[in-house]
Amino acid sequence: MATQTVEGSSRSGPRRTVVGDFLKQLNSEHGKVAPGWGTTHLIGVAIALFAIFLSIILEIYNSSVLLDGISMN
Amino acid sequence: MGLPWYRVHTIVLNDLGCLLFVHIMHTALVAVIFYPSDHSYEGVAGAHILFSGLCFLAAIWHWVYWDLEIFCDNRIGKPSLDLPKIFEIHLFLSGVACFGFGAFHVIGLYGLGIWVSDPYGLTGKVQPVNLVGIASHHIAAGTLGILVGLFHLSVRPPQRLYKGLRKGNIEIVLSISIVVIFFAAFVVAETMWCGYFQQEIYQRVSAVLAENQSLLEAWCKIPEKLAFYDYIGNDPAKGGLFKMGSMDNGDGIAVGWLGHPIFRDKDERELFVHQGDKIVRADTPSKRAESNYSVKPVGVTAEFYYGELNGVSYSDPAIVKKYARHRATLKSDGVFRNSLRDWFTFGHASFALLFFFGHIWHGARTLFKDIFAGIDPNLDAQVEFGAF
Repeated sequence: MATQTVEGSSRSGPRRTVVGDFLKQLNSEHGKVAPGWGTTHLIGVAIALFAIFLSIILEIYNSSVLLDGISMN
Repeated sequence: MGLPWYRVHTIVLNDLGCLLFVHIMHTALVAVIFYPSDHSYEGVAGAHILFSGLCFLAAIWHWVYWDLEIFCDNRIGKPSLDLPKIFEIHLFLSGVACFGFGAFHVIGLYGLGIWVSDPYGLTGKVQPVNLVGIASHHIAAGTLGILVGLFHLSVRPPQRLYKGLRKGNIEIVLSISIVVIFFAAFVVAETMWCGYFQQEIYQRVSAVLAENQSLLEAWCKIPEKLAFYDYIGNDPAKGGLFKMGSMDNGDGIAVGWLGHPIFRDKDERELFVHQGDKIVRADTPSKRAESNYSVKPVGVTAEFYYGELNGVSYSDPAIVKKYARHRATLKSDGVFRNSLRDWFTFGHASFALLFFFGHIWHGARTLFKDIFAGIDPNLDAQVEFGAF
């Protein structure tokens, strides 16, 4: 396949837009991380608490947990 | 040469304008096929079509102007996407939308009130939402989404999790998105399979009775579709899926509704067909010696409300037992058919399983990509493949 390259280009780069300039900061930290384990323990606690919450509301709805003033009929 | 057919969609990965285009176009198409039922506000339909049209135009714009500076990473001179940040932005916006929906639209504080189908898609018209749960759930979930979104805005992911979960690789995002789909599909398939129709029926009847209306008026208000879904012959868990041959007489296509039977013993206590931990007052004994609670001595009667047998009462034990046993108050021609409930369950369960497989597939591809490509697993540098 014969290809021809053209040296030089009149393009000055990717297109800039008003919205893009506003949002550029939000797409400028690719690959940035906190060192080591960071906040992993925090999310672990949050996941556990959420799981407990879901179990509670499930068992209330299932009448496995009975609370005064809440009747399932 | 060309790509194998199962890889053709990968062409959007290195062209971010194209990637954005396909997602917006998908949204446009989903919005346009949203079809509210006959009882909807025309404005709702119109708004969705308008939204769809705008999405279509936005999609085209993004396809044309694919090379945007915002996508370009100055450090490497090539496009890149900060996936954790994108996640945070969408979580925050979803939280705002969810909260706003609950606090304003549902309650009617700012909005038309709410247009929903009832939980079973039966009536699909504008109706006031007196269920506190819907509004409060959206307010609570929306608040949580906003707070968690703001948290993720200010904190970057730990290096261990970024590397361990391949957070720079867009295929992991695909894998997680698939989870949401199959989860929802399993939930609705399970609901249709096991059904909450009887509970819904009794809730509606109780609500009407609480307003001091008669039993007949209460049962008048039960939509036939809901009663049909409750019909035990349609329950997939009771062999209602792809029934073949007649299991007994009098089961098959429904041509009418005999009515709702209420069973009472001779003390006028209302009895229910056994479905759980209730006190047993009448049963069908297998031996004469166990016949204390047999239907005849207990004096069980069956009286019908609404339907073709409205007002009719039976005290003959054989007839009472027939109606108690089958809950089969739909007249039939003895021919077996499928029902909407069966097909809904089958379709959603099938797709849920497919999407579960898809989740495992794309998750595995992401997590084991380096092994598949023959890279030394002991290689320690932060190497990312298919970075977008």
